[in-house]
Amino acid sequence: MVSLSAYLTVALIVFCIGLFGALSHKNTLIVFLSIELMLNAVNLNFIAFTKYGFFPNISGQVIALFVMTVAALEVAIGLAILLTLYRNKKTIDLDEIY
Amino acid sequence: MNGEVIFFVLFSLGAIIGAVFVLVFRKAVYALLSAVLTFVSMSGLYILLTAEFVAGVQLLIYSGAITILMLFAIMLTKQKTGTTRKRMIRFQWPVIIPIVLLMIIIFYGIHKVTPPRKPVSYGKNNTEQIGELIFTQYMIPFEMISVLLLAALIGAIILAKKENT
Amino acid sequence: MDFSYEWHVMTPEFSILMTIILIGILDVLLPKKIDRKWFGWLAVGGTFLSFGLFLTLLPLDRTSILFDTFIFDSFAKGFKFILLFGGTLLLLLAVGSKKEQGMEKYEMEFYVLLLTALFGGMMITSSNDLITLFIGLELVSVSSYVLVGMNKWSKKTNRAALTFLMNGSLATAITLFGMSYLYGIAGTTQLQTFLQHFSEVSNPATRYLYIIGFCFLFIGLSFKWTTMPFSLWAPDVYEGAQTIVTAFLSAFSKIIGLIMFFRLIFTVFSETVLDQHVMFSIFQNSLLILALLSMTFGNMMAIGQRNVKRLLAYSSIAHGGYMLAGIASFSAHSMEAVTYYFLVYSLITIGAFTIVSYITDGNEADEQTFTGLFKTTPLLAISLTIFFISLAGLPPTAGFIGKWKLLISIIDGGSPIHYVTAIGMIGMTIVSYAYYFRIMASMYFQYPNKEEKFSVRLPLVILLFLCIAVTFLIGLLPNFGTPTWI
Repeated sequence: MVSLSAYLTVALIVFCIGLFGALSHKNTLIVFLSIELMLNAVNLNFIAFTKYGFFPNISGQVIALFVMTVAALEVAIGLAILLTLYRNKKTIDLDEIY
Repeated sequence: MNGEVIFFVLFSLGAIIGAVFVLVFRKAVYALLSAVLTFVSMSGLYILLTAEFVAGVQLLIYSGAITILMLFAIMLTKQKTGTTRKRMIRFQWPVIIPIVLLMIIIFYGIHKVTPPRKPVSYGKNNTEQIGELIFTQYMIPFEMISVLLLAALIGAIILAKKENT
Repeated sequence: MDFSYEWHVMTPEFSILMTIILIGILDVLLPKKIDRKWFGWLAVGGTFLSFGLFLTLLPLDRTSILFDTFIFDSFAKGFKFILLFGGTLLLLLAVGSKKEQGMEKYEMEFYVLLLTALFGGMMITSSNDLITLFIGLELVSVSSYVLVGMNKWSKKTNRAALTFLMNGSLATAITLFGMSYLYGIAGTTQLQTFLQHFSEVSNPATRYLYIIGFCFLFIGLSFKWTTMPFSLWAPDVYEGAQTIVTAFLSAFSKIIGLIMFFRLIFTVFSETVLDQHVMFSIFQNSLLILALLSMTFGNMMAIGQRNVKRLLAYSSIAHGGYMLAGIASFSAHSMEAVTYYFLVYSLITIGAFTIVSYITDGNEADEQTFTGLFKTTPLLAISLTIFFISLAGLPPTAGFIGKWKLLISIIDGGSPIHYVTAIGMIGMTIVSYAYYFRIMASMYFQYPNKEEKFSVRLPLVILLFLCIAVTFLIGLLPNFGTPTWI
């Protein structure tokens, strides 16, 4: 049987990789992708706790569904903003934007 | 060594490798594809955790909707392909040290968490339970999500609409 | 009729929601030729209706519907009052001030998004459930991303919106990561049962994880609240956005992070569970250090600024630091002091931004525009002076009483680091005089660059009158503003 801490560790690693990407990558699209990775790690945490948690119950899965909705929303808004920026500046490279 | 462990190792390796390659690839499309690897492996992990419905939604939303949205963004914008790998990452070392520290601090907290209860599996009526919970206990946040979607819809339309002044 | 749940406690929210839908439908149905300026008055009417309904609900005791996902208790009453008041003022400001170039055709979208943010904030005040808190926070964030980026023809605005969105979604992810650990240990989303569950499994390992979760939650929320770890976005975004949106961000969006933090501190993160733990004092001390850093950074950077919007952004970082210090003492007075300070702060910020939006009229908010204001329009100059004195914290305004209360609550904390923070706060307040008085001096003692009279517009006069009256009222009667219902 796989233990809880194994799942949590996987989530932690993915979260930290995402955090690193979000803080240090130049391409705006990859920054958005990194944030998605972080949100995925969060979902894995929630779902691992629904099965193995201290008080296992299913509301963690409901939270995960809500998180996914919000993630999709943020990407949609983010890409819309990116397109407006691209129209004016013709680049999505963070070094050239700032 | 039973099946669960094998699949766990497989999926978690997939998730981590996919996440690493998102940062390593120089072309945005490749990075996106390796993100899909992470998303799919994550949904595999959800199935191991007996969350079949969430796993299905994960496949639909992440590797379906979000990936397609990103692909459109890649198509509509011109990508610069860096000639050297160094150019893609801005400040590598100053950032990586606090993140590794953070990881160690949290890992110390989680490396032997042992919940006292037995694990619960939500095998057959998983979807039914979620539905019941959403439409009873989480009714209000569910309705709030609809307002949120309305706001995002309006926002995305006015931002992305092309017009001249 | 007899409902199984007491839905009538949600009528203030419902009326806001109905206004949103009404404005949306009207915009679709009305012919293109009709001017849509009066949508703003419709929105103001909606908030007035909501305010009236809210006042009729005040005598109610604690009411909760649907497993505490919505509750109406004294906490909700107090903060809903502040939010509705601030929201109405903001809408009046939006109606009265001139929109930027090209924004005239987006009247409907603008008011719908502002009202959505107000709706989200009101849901946050009365939610006692992690999911409702999170969705409410997202309602505010998503509508503010769009509001910031709405003026899409300006490169500066695009950049501001992108910065805001990237920082905001990073903060969301971090908040959620913290929430996931809290959920995992307590196994519930209802804040009321959190502590009960947690005390059942409380041991050093779980406490460690719990505090980590809470730290993440705090870091994520500090984005909304512009204190140190996540405040570097503020100056760019405040400068790039329209003035009304800047006022919204600094006066309204900020209070929402605060409310959420308060709700969590008093339900989930109780001292009684964690006081023996060494992590608790580390957490408290780091809060104080962050507060000191924000004060120093905000005030020092504000001195050199020539753009008034940027200056106010840095000053709002400093004010975030003061409030954080007030909270970090976790003493008996801190809740009261910070609530009072927030009411005062949001009022005077909205007032100050009203004048900024009035004078700049959709142009750059350079300090030059304020030169010799007293000679051209004495009324505006005097009101701006009142707001600046209040922001600087001088008597007899409400800002002074607010700072005084904060100081007392910090000193109440009683450890050396609390004293250092208190001294730092006094020092930084004196530093802040430098930039407030510089602008005031140029308003009174220099001659204007161009002879230009600013005409008086009705909504703005009402707004200024309200802000000034309340500032003096709660300044002269300090206990008037003290929320007894909290």
